[in-house]
Amino acid sequence: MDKKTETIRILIADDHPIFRDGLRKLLEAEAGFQVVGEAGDGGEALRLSGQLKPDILLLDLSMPRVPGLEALRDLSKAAPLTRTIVLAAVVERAQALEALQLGARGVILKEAATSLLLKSIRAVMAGQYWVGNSSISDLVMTLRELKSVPEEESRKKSFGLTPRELDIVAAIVGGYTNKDISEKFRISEQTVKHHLTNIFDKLGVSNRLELALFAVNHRLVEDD
Amino acid sequence: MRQDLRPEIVKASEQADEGRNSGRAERFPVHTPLRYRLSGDIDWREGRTENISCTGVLFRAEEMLAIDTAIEMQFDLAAEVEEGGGAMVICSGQIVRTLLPPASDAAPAMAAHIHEYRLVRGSAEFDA
Repeated sequence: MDKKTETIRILIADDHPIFRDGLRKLLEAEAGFQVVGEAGDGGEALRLSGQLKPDILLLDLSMPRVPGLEALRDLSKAAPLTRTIVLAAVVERAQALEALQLGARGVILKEAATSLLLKSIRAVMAGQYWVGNSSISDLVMTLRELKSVPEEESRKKSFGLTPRELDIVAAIVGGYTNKDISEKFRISEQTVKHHLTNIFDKLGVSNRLELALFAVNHRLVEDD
Repeated sequence: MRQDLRPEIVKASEQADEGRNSGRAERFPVHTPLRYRLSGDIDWREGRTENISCTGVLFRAEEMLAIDTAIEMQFDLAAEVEEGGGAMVICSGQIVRTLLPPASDAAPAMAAHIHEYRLVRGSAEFDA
């Protein structure tokens, strides 16, 4: 932090330029916040953290090449004084737990209100932890609570897929065509293709058959 | 009668316009019954998969086929999805590798490259 002006220096790491742009504008509109850099993947986040030494790193969990959790593992060496708040569209207990165990100071959903994000940044800068909608006074208890889930549930990973994306994966596994899926969920075929592109990217698969095999092998779509 | 592959078949070797080509295809350890027949044949034969990728299938069957034999294959994706079982995969390809069994009483294995495939709703059934 810049002691003279008490400005909080922030690095944004997210693979979506539009999201980074929007977040940058929101943060820079806030007095006392300065965005010092942007990274498009975990590797760049590590490099820029070491170079710029930001106070706060806002780190997206789902990024290509070097995902958020992987970057978090190396961050304590690259930038020991930087405090990381993990951002995610969807985050499971196991991921939140792992992020905190790897040194993250906060975990917040991307859908959270801007005011919550700003509060989380200030809380983390004040030495607190932040999970979801509130600051954490007892990290040990929070970690225990996060750990105490049925093993079956923690094993069922969503690989960062949203609920809608999981619905679409289930439909693919069921043999639905894009047209079937668009009718089933009342969305356009173009939207179905857009979802599939995101799903393919997140899972690292290259076509429907590989997606279906992946989903079955990892039990992504089984009925609870 | 032969079941023709409808227009929405996908060439497995092409990069899907939806996804990226990320190198060698991952092999999934799927053990499921498989039906196969030589291209042009009417009767199906039975086998069992050892592993499946988006570009090929390794399966065991009683009779070993020669390399380059063109075949059609069908197998179910064993999955408990909301509205019934998983899709049936219908594909065509050719034998690219054969493996003699480790013991005389075991079935030989064959690797087939998938040229084209489609996923259809419902389980595999014998064609009329």
